Amino acid sequence: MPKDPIELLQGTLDFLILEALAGGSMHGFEISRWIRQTSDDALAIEEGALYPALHRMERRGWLSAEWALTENNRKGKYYALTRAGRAALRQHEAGWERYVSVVAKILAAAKGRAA
Amino acid sequence: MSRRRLFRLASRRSTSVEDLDEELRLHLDLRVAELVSEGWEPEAARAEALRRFGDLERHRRVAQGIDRGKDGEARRRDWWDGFRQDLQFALRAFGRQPGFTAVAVLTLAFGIGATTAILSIVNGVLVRPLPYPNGDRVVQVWQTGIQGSRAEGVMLPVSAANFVDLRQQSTTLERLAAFRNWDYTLSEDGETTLLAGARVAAGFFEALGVEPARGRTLTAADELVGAEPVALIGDGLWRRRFGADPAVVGRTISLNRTSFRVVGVMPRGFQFPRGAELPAGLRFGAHTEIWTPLVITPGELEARGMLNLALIGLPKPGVTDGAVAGDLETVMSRIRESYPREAANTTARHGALGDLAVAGVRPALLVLLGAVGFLLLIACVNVSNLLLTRTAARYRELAVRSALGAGRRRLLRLFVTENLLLAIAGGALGVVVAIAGKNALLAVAPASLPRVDDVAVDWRVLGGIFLVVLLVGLGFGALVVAEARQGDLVEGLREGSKGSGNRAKSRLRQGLVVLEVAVSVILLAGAGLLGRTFLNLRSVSPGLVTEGAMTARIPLPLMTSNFREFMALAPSWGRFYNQLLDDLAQRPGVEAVGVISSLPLSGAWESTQILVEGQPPPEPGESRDVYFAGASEGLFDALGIPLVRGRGFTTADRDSSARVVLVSEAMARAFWPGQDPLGERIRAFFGGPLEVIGVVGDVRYREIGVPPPPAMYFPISIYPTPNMSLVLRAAGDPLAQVGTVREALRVIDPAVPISDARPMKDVLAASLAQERFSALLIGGFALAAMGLAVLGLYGVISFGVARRNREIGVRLALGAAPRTVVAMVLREGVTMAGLGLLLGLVGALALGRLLSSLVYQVSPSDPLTLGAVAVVLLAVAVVASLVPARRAMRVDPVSALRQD
Repeated sequence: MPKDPIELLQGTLDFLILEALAGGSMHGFEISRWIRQTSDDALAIEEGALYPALHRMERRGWLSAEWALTENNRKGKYYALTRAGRAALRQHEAGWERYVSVVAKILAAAKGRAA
Repeated sequence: MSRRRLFRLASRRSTSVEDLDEELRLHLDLRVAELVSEGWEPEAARAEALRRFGDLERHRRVAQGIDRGKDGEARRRDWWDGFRQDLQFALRAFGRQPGFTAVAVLTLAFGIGATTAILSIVNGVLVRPLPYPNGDRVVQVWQTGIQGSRAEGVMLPVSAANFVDLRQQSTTLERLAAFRNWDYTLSEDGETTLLAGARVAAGFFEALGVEPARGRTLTAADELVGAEPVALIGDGLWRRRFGADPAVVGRTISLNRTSFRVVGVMPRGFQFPRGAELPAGLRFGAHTEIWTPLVITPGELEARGMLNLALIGLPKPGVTDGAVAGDLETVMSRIRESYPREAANTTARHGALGDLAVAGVRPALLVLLGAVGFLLLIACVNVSNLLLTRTAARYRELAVRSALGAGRRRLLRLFVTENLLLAIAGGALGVVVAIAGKNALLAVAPASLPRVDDVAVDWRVLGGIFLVVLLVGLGFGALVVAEARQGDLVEGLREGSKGSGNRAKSRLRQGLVVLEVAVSVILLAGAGLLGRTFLNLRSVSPGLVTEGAMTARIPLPLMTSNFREFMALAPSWGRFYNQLLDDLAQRPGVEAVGVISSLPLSGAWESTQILVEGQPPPEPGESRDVYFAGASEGLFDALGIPLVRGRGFTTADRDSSARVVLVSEAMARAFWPGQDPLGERIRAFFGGPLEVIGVVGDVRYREIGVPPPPAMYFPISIYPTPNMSLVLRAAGDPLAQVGTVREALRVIDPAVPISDARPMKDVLAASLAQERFSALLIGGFALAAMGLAVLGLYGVISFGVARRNREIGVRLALGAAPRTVVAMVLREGVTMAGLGLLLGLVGALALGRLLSSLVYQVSPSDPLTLGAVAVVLLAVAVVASLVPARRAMRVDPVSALRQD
């Protein structure tokens, strides 16, 4: 367990959900488990916050939802990316990569000065 | 993590709240299970799960809020998607059957359009209050005889003296204003126009509740003898002649050679009094355009027996009709006591102006409305028959759709969409039909139809149409749905197009068609009789030759209404007309020219009692009414009235000392049967005996359908009037001579106008306008009814053929000749048409008696007319059945049988 979980930046949760669903449809708990496992529990997400985000993204047309049976025979609401959702994901990824590279550059420069 | 789903759950109806809770519960349960598997105690695991979840209630509320908006959106989107689908489907279906669609839409358009056209007229003429603010309160007051007197029940104008007394003494009327027609000749920039005007007493506009759009109203001060002449002008005149110039108020204009100061302009559309609107006595122009004060001279106040005013009044608020009647009678009884000689037997009555205006046409319009409503009903029955036929043909398609999962609700919605679409298309086209029909009706309507200006397709009528359209659309939907329900769709799949015929229902349909045929037979018979009447009347010789003759009114501008002054001017009128006639007679192309005081068949006429010297005076009650007119010497040649005996007028008779008269053949027969009237002497209202100098041909003076009445003609020196009609006969187009007349007038007196110039033919045609209107109207209805009946017949027979497709296929397969199949279908059609025809003929004979007062020289049971109707109807019925019959003949036995 990491010591200080990273606080989420605005809009990051949407990005994470889109990333999670890029591999196929999932229901809410699966999404939260995927985020937890993929990030090694490094992100501090209040699990409940996932649901308003999912419903908002469904309404925006990024996600489609469908009821189906889970592996242990319970009804689950499965979310999947729509075409618009895929486009949003690509946009988010590009934005993040630029953001990360810029921040990395700044950090490298700062380190160079400190050295 | 598994993506495997065993199968999708069928979407079910549940609320988004239930869905959300289900979703959250799953999350919590799975987390608890995970924690338990990691070794947590169940209780602690639950608490931990909730802690990690965060504020459950808040997240739940936020998500729910998002869903609420989404739900509404989704429902709307679903509905629109479905609707668009239905619409596309319906349009495609209609496109595949253009014939059916056209027939259905046209039938509806016609039914809706005709109803709306008539409704617009009924609404404008009967329902809408008169277009004045006090239109629903204003009453007309007229003079009449007391009970038991000769003039009882006759609407007479009111004398100036009686008006003044009524106005002073009445206690129930807030306003009482007299008015009379007065033609004005406007001379402006060298152009002379005749305008329909009215002289109105103060309070006239206030009684109606109308105020001038510009300037001021007329007041009592304007009526004082010697006051400056003032006038109010109408909006139309203001725009037409004064370029809508506001500065016209305050200007002086020349009316009847007198300067009037314009004090105001009336609002657009105000034209009261409008001719046909006022039943009592006085002849008003169709639209009044100029209003001047009614100046009552002392002389007029003395002549209590001179009836020349129309009266409108405004009862005080809350006063009953009975109170007004009592009040009027009280005042009139006082007048009778004070003036036993002049006011003997007279009283006054009143009635709502709006009711009086339309009393004459109300029953006819309501009958028309009923007839047209019936047409709409027939149209709807027909369209529903067509739709049923179509449904029968689509049974299999529907059954298949239903089996493929289209819910019953969805199918019903499809039906309703289709029918609404039909109804809306029919309604939209119907609006066009309505406007065209209304205009066409008004174009042929006789001038006596009141309030024509108030007719418009207004919002009420439009609202009415759309209500009708919606009801019709939903009604069809319900009908088709009922049919679809009744023949269960699963059954439909099993039985194919054989369907499940419901005997009672098809009986009903056949019965309706028989009834349609019967109604159209009655209407056709009526139209035939009225049409023949019109043709008979048109072929009646009126006793004059209209070809090559024109007529126009030449009214002399006058200012005085004082009888003595009026009569003092009389000799100058004769001089004027004689001068005009002499001038015109010399102009090239003019063959004959004359003037007459009342032009035959123009609606103007006068009659009087006469005494024949040497014959006993008429018994009391014996009518010796004789039509009379003042006529110039050239008139008889101009009108083509032949001289039968004796001599005609000559220029020598222009002198008033010539005491001569011409009589018609009918008058000669009536007063001197078997004798020679030449040299006989008669006396009429103007005293002094007149000698009969000649006998002229008979003229149908008042109505062309009535045998010529006795008539006599005086020289204009004996009976001069300031409002003569000119009759001019010329080579070539007589109307081309209007310019000649204008030219002559300019030379003699530029202030005298020429008005109502038209060929004599038109005068004759106008006298038959009522008959023509009735014949056209009933004829139109009859054709429409026949068209609809034929469509109905076609619809029902097609329906029968469609339903019996299989049966026909079997017959054909078993070797029946196509000819027998055709005969079978034809027999069905002709039987229905024959039954309807029989029923209709019986009805026509029964109703013919009602028509007997309207027909002319044709029996209401005229075998020729009825026979023609029967032949036409049967022929059309055969054609209507032949189309489906040929379709039946071409039924392919193999595919008909394979339809199972």
